[in-house]
Amino acid sequence: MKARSTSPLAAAIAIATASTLLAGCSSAGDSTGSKGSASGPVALDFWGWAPGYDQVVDRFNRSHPNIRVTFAKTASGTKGGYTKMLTAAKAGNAPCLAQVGYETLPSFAAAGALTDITKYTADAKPQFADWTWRQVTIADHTYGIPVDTAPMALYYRKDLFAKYGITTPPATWEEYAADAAKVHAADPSAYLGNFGNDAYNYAGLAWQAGAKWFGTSGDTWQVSLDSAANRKVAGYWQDLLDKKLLKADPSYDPSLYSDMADGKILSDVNAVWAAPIIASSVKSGAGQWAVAPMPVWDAGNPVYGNDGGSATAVLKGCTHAKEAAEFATWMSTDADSVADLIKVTGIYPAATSALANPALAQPDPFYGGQVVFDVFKAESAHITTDWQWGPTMTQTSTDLGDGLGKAGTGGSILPNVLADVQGKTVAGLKQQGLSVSAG
Amino acid sequence: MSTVTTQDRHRPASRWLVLGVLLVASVYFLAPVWWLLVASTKTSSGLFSGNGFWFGDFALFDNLKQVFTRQDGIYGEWLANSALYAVGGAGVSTLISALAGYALAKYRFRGRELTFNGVLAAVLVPQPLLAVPLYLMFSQLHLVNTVWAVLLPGMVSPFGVYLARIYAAASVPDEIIEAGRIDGAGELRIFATIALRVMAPALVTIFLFQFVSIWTNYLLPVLMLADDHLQPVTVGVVGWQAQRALGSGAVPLNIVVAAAMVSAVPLVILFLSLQRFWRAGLTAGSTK
Repeated sequence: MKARSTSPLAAAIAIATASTLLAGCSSAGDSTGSKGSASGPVALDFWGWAPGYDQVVDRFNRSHPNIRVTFAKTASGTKGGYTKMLTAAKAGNAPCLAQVGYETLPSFAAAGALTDITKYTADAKPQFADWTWRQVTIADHTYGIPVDTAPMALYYRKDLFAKYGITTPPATWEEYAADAAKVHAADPSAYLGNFGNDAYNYAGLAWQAGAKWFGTSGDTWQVSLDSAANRKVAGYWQDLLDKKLLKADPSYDPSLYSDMADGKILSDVNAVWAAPIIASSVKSGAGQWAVAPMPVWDAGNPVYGNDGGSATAVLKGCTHAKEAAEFATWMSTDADSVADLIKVTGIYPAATSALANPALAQPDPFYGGQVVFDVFKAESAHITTDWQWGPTMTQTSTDLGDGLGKAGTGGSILPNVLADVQGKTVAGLKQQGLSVSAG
Repeated sequence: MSTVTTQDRHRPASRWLVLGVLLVASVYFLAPVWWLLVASTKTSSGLFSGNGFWFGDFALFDNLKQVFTRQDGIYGEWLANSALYAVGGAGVSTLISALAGYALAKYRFRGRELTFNGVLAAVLVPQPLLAVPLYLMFSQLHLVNTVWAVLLPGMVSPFGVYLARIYAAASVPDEIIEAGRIDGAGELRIFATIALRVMAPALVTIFLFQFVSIWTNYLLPVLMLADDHLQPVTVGVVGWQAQRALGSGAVPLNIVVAAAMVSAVPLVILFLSLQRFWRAGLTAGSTK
């Protein structure tokens, strides 16, 4: 369940909502999100787009006679779903519950479209890793329950690694750079990896290195895309690009998969949800692919990055926030619910207990019979903790994506790209009327 | 080569230039259509290997079967919804445009120019801009998530009114209307029996324009509807696309592509069958 940036329109609406939202907005008609009569069960609406959510909702309704959740399928977040949720929140008829990606949650918060459920989540909090919980918590207010996460790993071709004399997959970024040079020296048309133009994939690399982009201090947002830590990450990749050791196909583009199928690109650093994408898009080499932990900066203290994941958020105007929190917690932690989500939706669960789910112990023939989730399971306890998304991710990810594309083709260099995106992001936050400091 | 006419000999360069530009333009417009057609016949893995612009392993019928049977055949429902929204919206909007355009062209009344300028201004407002205000308005009327939320906005077409007025002014002679009045026909009868028929080519054009814009509309239904069974085909197919790569609920890309191809078929049929009216309507307004 990879969550992506919102449309420009969504951003425009977010801005509009943020600046014009009135406290009494919900007086417009009765709120469909929270109709509960005194006698019957509490009714909650739930908007999302992932397949399988409807099954989980049915399961919940069967076992919880006092709460009745109705799932309605919307367009996916980036394709208008988020716009719809924000508009409904403004009209005062938003559902209680909504599927919202971690990267989008801060923009919902900035638009005042969320309900604070901190006081109902005391039991839920210990069931999630700290870094996951931070994804639904902004400035100490919790707005939802994590559903899935997306730790990153190294997908690689075992046979081709062996062909170029790489006996063990690179465990550190230093080894990765050395292997990249080795491959390219042996065959100038082959590359160890690809430098794509997906801002969120790059964010995962920064995340791993502890190179924060955003932070909050009181009511002030801090933007630090241009920090020393970020320049270190950018410098590493720029060096590989300067030496022409990476291919620069666009992320998730057919050209990338055909290069992988032709053995021109040997590996990809990507999130857990990329496993089925690679398996279904790259047909040749089935059985020869494998998954290894993402290369790390410090072999003595390995920490990893994350690219994606989403929450069940509680939207503004929900009059049954307690029941909403109860449902959201159940959905992410109940063993049967999680099993459904893993099998039908294809998520990698956020709850720590759910990682032991037998559905995650299946060997995958495309990856040579490896139980790929074991790699991610081992990583997920060691994801860098303090990453936070900002309220302008639509704009920031678009700007960065453009910059990454230019850097990949030699039209710009990464440190300049980051400085440029930093400036635009700070300006974007100011434009939304948010207090901001560069840090 | 003595048979070459003088004209040809004098301007071969410009002829080749025009031909070249037209050729580039048609490749530019037709290549994506060709790709869609070819891609819809391929298997999921075939999409990523081999030439994208030529056929590989042929799986069109299997793809089509999957498109129409997936999720209990919801694709058929989406097509029917699209047809309902497009036919209903375009039909009513054509009638309203004909009435309004005829009135604006043939009757003199206070505020006529003001009204027409208002319509002209509305032509300039892009439709997606109105989606959010419409949602806010409709949610107060409790029309959100009903068929009406998509149907009603489709029934209004400022461009249709504009085109109908231009066409009525140019092609419905005042003398015929006068003759009708002298013969004792009421205004409504004159409109229905004379004006409507004369305006037919323009009305077909208006219908087509509106049909296409409703059929391809995405943002409005996305905002208004929260029920998979009410969605038009555009929203449905994009929803499938978002589900690729997920668990067992995933929709393979070849199915998405085939679904997109099928959703374009009604538009092609409509265009081809109404083509001659369409062409007459397009040119008539401009020449007179």
